[in-house]
Amino acid sequence: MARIGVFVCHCGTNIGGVVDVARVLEAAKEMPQVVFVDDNKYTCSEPGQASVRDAIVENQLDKVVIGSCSPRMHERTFRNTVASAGLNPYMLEIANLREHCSWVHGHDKERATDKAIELIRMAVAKVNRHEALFPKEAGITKRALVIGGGVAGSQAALDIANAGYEVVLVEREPTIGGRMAQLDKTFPTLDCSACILAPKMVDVGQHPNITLRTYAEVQKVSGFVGNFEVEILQKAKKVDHTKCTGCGTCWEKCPEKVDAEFDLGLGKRTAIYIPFPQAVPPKPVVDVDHCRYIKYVKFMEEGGEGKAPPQCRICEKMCPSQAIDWSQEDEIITEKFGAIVVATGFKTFDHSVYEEFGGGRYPDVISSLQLERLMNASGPTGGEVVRPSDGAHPKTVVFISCVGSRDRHKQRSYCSKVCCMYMAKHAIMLKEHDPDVQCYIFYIDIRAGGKDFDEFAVRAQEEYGALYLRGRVSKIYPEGKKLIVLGEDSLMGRPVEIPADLVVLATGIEPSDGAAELAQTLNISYDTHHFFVEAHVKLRPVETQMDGILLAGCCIGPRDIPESVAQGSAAASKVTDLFSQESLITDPMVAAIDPAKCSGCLLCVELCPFNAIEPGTTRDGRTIAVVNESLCKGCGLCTAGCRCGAANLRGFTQQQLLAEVASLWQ
Amino acid sequence: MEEESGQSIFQCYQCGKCTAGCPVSYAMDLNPRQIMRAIQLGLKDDVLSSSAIWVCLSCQTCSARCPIEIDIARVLETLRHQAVREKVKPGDKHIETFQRIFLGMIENRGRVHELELGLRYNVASKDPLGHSSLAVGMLKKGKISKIRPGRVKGASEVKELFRKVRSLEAGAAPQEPGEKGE
Amino acid sequence: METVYSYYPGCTQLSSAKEYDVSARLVCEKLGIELRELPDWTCCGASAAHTLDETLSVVVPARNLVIAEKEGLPLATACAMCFSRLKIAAHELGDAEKLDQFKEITGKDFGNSVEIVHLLQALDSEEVSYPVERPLQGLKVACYYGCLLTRPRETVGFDDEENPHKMDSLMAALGAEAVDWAFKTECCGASLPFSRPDIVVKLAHRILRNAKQAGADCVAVACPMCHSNLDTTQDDMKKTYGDDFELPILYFTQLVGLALGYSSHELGLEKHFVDPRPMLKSKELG
Repeated sequence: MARIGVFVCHCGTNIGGVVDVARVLEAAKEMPQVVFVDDNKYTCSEPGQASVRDAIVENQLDKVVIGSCSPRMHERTFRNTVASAGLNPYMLEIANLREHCSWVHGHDKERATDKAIELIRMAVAKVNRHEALFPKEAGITKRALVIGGGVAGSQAALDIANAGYEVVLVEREPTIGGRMAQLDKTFPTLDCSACILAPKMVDVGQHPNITLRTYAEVQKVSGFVGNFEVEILQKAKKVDHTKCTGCGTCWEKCPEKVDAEFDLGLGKRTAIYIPFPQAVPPKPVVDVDHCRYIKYVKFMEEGGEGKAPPQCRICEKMCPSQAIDWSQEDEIITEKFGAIVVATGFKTFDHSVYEEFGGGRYPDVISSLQLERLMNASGPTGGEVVRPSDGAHPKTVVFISCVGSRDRHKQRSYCSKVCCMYMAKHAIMLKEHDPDVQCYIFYIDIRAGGKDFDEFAVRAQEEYGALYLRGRVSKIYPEGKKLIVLGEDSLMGRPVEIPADLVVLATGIEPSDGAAELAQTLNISYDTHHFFVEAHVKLRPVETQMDGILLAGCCIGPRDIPESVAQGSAAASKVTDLFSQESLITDPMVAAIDPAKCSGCLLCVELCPFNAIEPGTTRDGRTIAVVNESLCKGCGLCTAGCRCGAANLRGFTQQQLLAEVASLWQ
Repeated sequence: MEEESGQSIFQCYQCGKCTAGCPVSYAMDLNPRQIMRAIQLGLKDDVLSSSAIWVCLSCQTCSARCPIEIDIARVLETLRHQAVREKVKPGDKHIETFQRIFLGMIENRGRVHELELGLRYNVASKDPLGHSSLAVGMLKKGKISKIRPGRVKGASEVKELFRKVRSLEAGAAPQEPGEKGE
Repeated sequence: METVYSYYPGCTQLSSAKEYDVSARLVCEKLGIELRELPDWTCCGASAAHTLDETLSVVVPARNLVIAEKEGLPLATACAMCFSRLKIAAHELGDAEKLDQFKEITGKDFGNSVEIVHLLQALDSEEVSYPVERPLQGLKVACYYGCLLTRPRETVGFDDEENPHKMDSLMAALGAEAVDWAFKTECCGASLPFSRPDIVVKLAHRILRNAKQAGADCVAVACPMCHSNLDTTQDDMKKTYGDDFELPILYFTQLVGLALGYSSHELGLEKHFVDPRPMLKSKELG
C-alpha cells in the first residue's frame, strides 16, 4: 500500500487567491492511498521545502504530490526536496494548479477549486503507479567538431583548443575566414578586416590542438552527445599540402581564368588557386571543374570526338617541390566527437529577383559585398572604387537599404541588422577614397543599436557629407552612362530622381547554401528562412534541441562580428562544460521496450524522430527493437505507435496515464 | 477603410516605394504614401478631397512593388468610390468631368464615340477648341469612322443595367460619416 | 492551339484604332484563326466605370461575358484596357455573393466560365507557328506592354510584371530584334489625354526616351490607348522637351502582318501620326 502525501501550495495569492485550498485539502484526504495532506504559502522557499521534507520523514511517505506552479518552474527543485528526504526523486508528481488552473480561471473561483481537486486526484492516481527511476551514465569522447571556419567557428575552435581539447575544424572552402575575410573595413572602428582576422586564422592553422580540414564537408552524423560519429568528405585538392610551400608559382603560371567566387564575379582567379593572399592554409587547391588537364583526362577517358584539348600541366612542371598530385581522390574520413559546433555563416541575398532594379543585368548596380571587394586593396581592382562597366571613378553613388530585407513580397520580412551600419561605413570609406564623391543613402529606418553605432551613423552625415533620404527606391533604369534612381524623400513628401554613377544595394543576410541539408544531417531544427533554431531564443542562444550540438554566428540569424565572436566563445564554453565532466548522466524518463512483448515489427524505428531506436537481436535470434537511452528524448511516439504494447515511456507509462484518466470517474 | 478595401492599411510602414514608382505622384497633392498615412490617422476629409484619388492611373505599379503586398491602387479606388458616393467635390475637376461624360455616353449609347466624347468634354470644360490639333489629325488620317455615332442593339440593355444599379445603390442604407475606422 | 475565338473589338477599334482591328483580322486570317465578332457587344466600361462606381465597373463589362458564355467560345480581345476590365470583372464575380447580385441585376443566368485572352496570348509564338515570308531582319523593336497586360498579377498577369517576354519572343520569331529596355510596363498616362494632356506628354516622353536610348527603331504596342498616347503626342514632346524622337509606334499585329507578307497599306500604316513607312523602307521591309 502506498503512503501518498499531498502538499498544496498557495503560491502567495497566485493560487490561494482563486482556489479554496482548504476545500482541496479536505477532498484530498479522501483520495485513495493518501495518508497526509498539508498546505504551504510558498513551497519552493527554504522553509516550505523543509516542511515537505520533514513531513515525508515523519509520516513515512513514499510518494508525493505537490499542487503548485508549472513543473517547468520547479520540477527540479521539488525532485531535490523529495530526494533530500531519502526518497527516489521520481516518486513525485506535480499538479499544475497555477498555469492550468488559478491563472486561467480567475473569474470563477468555485469551478476553479473543483478543477484543482480533479487535478490533484489525477496526480494522486498517477503517482500511485510511479516506480523508482535511476539515471544512467555514458562516456564522453573529448574531441570537438567545428563546422565552418568563419570568425565564429574560428573563435570556438580556438577556445576549445586552448582549454586543452582536440578540435577538428571542417571548412567547405579552400580557406577559412568566411565572410569577414571578404570585407575591407569593419564598423564602427574602421579596423582593416583582414588585419584583425588574419592573426586568428593563423592561430587556428598553427594550434597544436586544432586539425584544420579545408575543402571538406560533413556528410553524415550519427550518435548522441558525447558519442557522435561523423563522416567527413575530404575533397581532393590535387596538391600535396605536406610538400607544398605556398610559393605561388603554380597559380602565377596557370593559364585558365575563372570568375573568382571570392570577388563575387568582379574578378578572375586561376584554376589552381588560393582564394586570397592571406588564406589559411596558404596552399592551393585545384578546381577540377575548370582545370585544363582534368578536362583533357576526361576527354580521353570518354573517347571524345575531334581534337583533344591541351594537356597543360604547367603547375606540375613548374612546382619546385613536386607537390602536384593528380592521383588524389575524394575520400571519406570517419571520426568520433563528443560535441559539434555549427558555425556555417551566411551568404547575401541575390538581388537579381528585383527586376525593377535591373534584374542583375546592369553592371553598375552592385551588392554591398561587391563594393567591399572593390574597396579592398587585394580585391579585383586593387582597391580602386570604379564602375564595373567602364572603369571610371564614380562621383555620385546611391545606396539603397533593405534589398531582400523587410520585404514580404520577396519572402524576407526580417531585418538583416547590419546593413544600416555598413552603409554608413561605405559612405565614409568612399569619401576617404575620393573626396569628390557624393553619397546618397535611401533608408527606411537607421538601425544603430550597438556601442558607438549611432555616433558612427551621424558621423557619416556630419563629417562625410552623406545625404540620407528617407524612402524606398522604386526603380533604377539606365540613361546614357548614368543610372536614374527613382525614390521618394518621405520627410519632404516629394519624389526624388538621382542620376547615379554607381548604385550599391544593401543586400540582406541569409543562411549559406546547404543549410537545410546540414540541419537534416545533424537532426537540428531550422526555420522557414533556413536559419538554425536555438533551444530557447532568450535563455539558450547558442544551444540546439539536440544535446551536444551548439550554434554560433550568422547561421542562427543576422548579427555582426562581435556578436558572432561572443557566440563562438559561448558555444565553446558549453563544449568545455560538457568535456569537464567524467561521464554523462542521462535522463531516465525515456522509452523502454519490453523484449518479451516486442514483435520485431520495427515500426517504432521509423517513428522515432531522434533515430534513437535500432533493431537488435535476442539471444535466441529474434529481432526486437532496442532504445538507445542517451538519444531518446522521451517524446512518446514509439509508445503511442507500438501495436504490441511493448514500448512504454518511463515516467509516463500507459498505465500511469490511464490511471489519471480513470481517476476522473471516481 | 481596411474592411472596404480588403487591405491591411495599418501594416504600411511608410517606406515610400509606392510614391517613388508612381508615374504621377508628382502631380498629386497627397502622394500615395501620404494617402496611406492619412488613412492611418483618420484624416477622412483630406483624403476624400485630394486630387490623388482622381489622378491615379490605376496602373498598379505601387501594388506590384509594395513590400507588404498591399494593393494600394485598390485603396485609392475604394476612396474614390466613397468620395463619389458622399458627393465630395472632386480633387481634380477635369478628370472627373471627363469620366462622368464618358460614363454618361456608355449609359446612353452602349458604345463610345470618340469625336462626340471629345466635343462634349470641350463644352463641359469650357474649352470648345481644345485638342483641336488632335481631332484634326485623327480626321485627316481617317481614324474617325462616322461623324454621327450609330445605334447599337445592346444600348437599351445597357441603359437598363445602369438604372437597376443606381436604384440598388439608392435603396441601400446610407453610410454614416465617420463609420468603421476609415 | 485554339482556332476559333469570340472577338471583342472594343469601342476604339471602330475609329481611332481601326488599323489595329484591320491588322489583327488579316493576321488571324492568314494563321487560320477565326475571330467571330461578339454579337451585340457594348462598351467594357473602360476607365469611366471603375473610376466612378464599383458595381458598374463589374456589371458593364460582364454583360459581354454573359453573351460570350452563350457563344461557348474563348473570348479574345485586342485592347489591353478591355482585356483588363473583362478579366477583373470575371475575377470579382468569382465571389458568390457578387455573382448572385449580378445575376439579379441582369436577370440572366451566368456561370462565369468564360476564358478571356488578349490577342498576345492567342498569338503566342510558342503555340502558333508563323509562316514568315518577310523576316523583319535588322528591325530593332522596343516591346511596350503597358501597365494593364501584366498587372494585377493574380487577376490578369500571364507574363512577368516588370520584365515580360511574350511580345519579345514573338518579335524574335519574326526575325526582328527585341531590345532590352527598362520601360516595358511603365504606364503611358492611360485615360488622361483629354483631361490632363500634360501628364500624358510627360509619361510618354519618358518612355520613348528610354526606348530611343536602347536603340529601338520603333515601338510595338498592344493597346489602342498606349498607341494613341505614344503616337499622337510626339509633336507636343518636341514643343515641351525639345526631343524630336520620330519614333514610329506600331501595333504588334501590324509587325506580324508585315512579316507574313502584307503590305503597309493593307495594314493601315499610313494612319499613324508618326509615319513608319520611311523607316521601314530604309530597312527594306516594305
